[in-house]
Amino acid sequence: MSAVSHGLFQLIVALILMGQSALALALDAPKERPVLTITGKVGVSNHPAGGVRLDMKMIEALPQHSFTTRTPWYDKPVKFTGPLLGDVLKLVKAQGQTISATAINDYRITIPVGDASQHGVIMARLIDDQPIPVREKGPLFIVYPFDNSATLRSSVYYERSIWQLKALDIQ
Amino acid sequence: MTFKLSDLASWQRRQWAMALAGLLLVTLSPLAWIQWQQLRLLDDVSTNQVDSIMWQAYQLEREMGRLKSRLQEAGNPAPAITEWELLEGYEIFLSRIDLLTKIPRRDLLESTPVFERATGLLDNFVRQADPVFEQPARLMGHHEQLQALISSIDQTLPTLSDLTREANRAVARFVDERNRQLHQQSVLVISLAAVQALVLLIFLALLVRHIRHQHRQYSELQKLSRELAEARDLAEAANHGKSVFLANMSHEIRTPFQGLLGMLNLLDEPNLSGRQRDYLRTAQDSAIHLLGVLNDILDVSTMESGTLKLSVGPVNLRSLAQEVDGLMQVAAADKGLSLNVHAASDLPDWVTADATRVRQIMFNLINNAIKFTNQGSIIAELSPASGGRCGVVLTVRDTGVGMDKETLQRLFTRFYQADNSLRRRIGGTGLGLDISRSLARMMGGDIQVSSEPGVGSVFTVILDLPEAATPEPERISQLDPQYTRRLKVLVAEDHPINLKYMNILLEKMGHDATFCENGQEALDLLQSQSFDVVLLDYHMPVLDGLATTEAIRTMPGPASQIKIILVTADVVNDTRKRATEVGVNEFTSKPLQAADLHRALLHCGLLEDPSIPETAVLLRPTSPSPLASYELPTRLPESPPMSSLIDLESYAEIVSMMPTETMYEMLDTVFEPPEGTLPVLQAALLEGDRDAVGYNAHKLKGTAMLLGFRAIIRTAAQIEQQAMQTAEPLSPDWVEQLQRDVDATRRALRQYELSLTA
Repeated sequence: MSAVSHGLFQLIVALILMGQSALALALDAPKERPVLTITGKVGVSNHPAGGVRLDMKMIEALPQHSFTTRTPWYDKPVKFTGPLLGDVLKLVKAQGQTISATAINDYRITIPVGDASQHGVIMARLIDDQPIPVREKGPLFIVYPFDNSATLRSSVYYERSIWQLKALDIQ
Repeated sequence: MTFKLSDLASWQRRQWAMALAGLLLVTLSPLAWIQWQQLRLLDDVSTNQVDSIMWQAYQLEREMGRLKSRLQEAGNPAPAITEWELLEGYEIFLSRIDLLTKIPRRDLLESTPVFERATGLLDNFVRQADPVFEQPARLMGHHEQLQALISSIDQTLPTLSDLTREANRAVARFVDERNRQLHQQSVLVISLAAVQALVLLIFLALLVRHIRHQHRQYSELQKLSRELAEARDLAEAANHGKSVFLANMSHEIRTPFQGLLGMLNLLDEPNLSGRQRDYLRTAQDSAIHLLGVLNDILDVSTMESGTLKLSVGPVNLRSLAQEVDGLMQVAAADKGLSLNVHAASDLPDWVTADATRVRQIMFNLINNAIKFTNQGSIIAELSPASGGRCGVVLTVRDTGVGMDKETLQRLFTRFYQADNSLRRRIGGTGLGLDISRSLARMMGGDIQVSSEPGVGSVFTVILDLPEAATPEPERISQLDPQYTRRLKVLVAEDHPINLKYMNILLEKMGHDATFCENGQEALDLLQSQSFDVVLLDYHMPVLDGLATTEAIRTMPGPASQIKIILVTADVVNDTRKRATEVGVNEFTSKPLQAADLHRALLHCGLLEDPSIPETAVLLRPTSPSPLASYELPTRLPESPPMSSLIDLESYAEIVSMMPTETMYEMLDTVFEPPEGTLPVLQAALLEGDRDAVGYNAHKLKGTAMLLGFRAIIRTAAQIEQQAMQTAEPLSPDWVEQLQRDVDATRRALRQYELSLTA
């Protein structure tokens, strides 16, 4: 009798803790140096100035996906790993139609929100399972699975693949 | 690419398919390859973003410039940037180096000296800067280090500018190269398309040639078939013409030939020497043989022209067998053979058949058997068909020479004779079996032969002869005037003998006859008198039978509806068809037969009496048998002394047909002055009136032939010949000669009558 009630208690405590930590994830402020700023039409905020700041840990916490593809920037196929851009947008409860992405080098490009679900776009944080330093187009790199479709192998999508990503503005 | 048309024509579907597939493969695979190349080129361009190399070079140069300005900023006493931002600038610059040196198409740039120089400078810079940027905070405001970096950058930047320009040129070269490739490929595509078009054109040309060739062949074939059809029509017309000609000629020859035979008989006088008698016998045999040949030819030609018709009626097969037996025994006995012709006991008494033709088949086969048998026997049997078949089987067995297989195969070939060496010895036309078979087939049967050389032959004839009811016996006997209606008959006939004969015949049949000599006279008579029927001769002077018929049919009043019977020797159906078209009701053959005329009258609906049985005709000795007479084993009887003067058979026949007083009247028309033909002829001879002599001599000859007065025929013929065909003066001796003949004939007649009464 006592063993059963003890187990039940533990389970309830664990569930409560998990719920709290899940709620805290969207709202928690980044514990490390933020690598990505998301502003615009987002449903949550974890920064006094508005919008969301994410550090690498928070991005790692999202479900991770990988694909290997050829690109115009590497002379051989490269494996990209990271969360889906869609999951990132869900995390911040994004509600806009377009994403204005900005790189550290001030490169700017507009990505339709539809691309995220339609093409399985990844916000890569690893290349060939290694973290990406800034000098190697890190730390974040939005990548389309170019090898999946000839449509993607065009300048439209190459342009949208932004590296050294630092900010997303949802419009 | 050179095909012979014949090869092309003989190609099967599979070969065509393979040729087409080959052609498509040859022309389309290079095209496909080129397309594939172009696709790859496009893919390469889009995948590798070839032109981005220029952008990357420029970005590198720019980023280095930005790094320089950050370094300068960092040297300020109150810098506007943090050490972090300085490091970031450096990192971005480093990423730019990788972007240029690691892109897939860096090969466009790698081989240039500028690239090597630039990478060298960049490496130096990185080697110098990396340790310094380990601690960016220390770098801030560290003028010495900053200045060293800035001067390195200043050394590197011009080379990077060169690199950007080089990248621009490399891209331009690449575009040129791609354009050149595209151009080459386009040229290749165009050439291939041209080759393809050419090949297609060649194929098309071959196809067109082939079609034209076929078309030409087709029209040639059509032309040929037209020509063949024309040739066939011509040949058929010629053949038909030949058949008609043969039929007519055989008939035309037969008539004078009968005269020739008569004359030969007249020559046969008792006071002939042995040698003369031999010559005469030879002449008679030859003549009989020739007549047989003529009859055969007539038969074949009528069969060929399709005009031979069977005239069927009730036939007593037993009598037929007896008759044939009687006629053939002499010939068999001559060769020392035993001949047995008999009818099986279960044979039906009466069958429906064409008696003359059945008899002809029997004669032919038995005669053949006699010809080819040197010793032994010949057995001919008529029996009912076995195996439930309706009909009669005639089997003729001999113990003759027999035939081998080859001979059997060719046996029924026209004009073929089993043994050429026998041909001269035996003679004959070689038509006998052909005729017999044709006849048998016309009767729904056939002839089969089996034979063994040296043992003998068996000919089996199957005839589809339906059983017939026994005819009424009293009608067999005679032509009784009381059974027939008395008809008023108008006869148009120019030939005096025929005229007389018809007169006698009609009288015998109990009809009233009115005579005229041609169609015009017939028309005149029809206008003034009424008749039941008109008998028109087909060949007549002034107006022939057909023209007369047409004229009668256009006459006013009931005369145009009169029944018309055409008397014709023409066996050709065409004549009958034309005659029927102009309105002839019936036909009778010539010389006219009582039964035939009776039948014609019956068909015209002029008599109620159903029939004159065929047997009455069958058994008549004078029936015009189509049988080849040479096949009749007849031997001319030894002439009695009287035979040179009178043909007693003919005379007896005439006498039997006519009432005595009529006979006397007729004799008077010949002998009695002043109207008798003879006195008139004598008078004309004395007067020297050549026309009158010719006409009356002809007339006398005709009458004499009818009556069988041979001596008078002979003399009259000579007179006629002299009067009509020579210019010799007419000898008055003829008068005396005629008188002598007449006297002799009269004596002979008296003698004959005495012999009858005695």
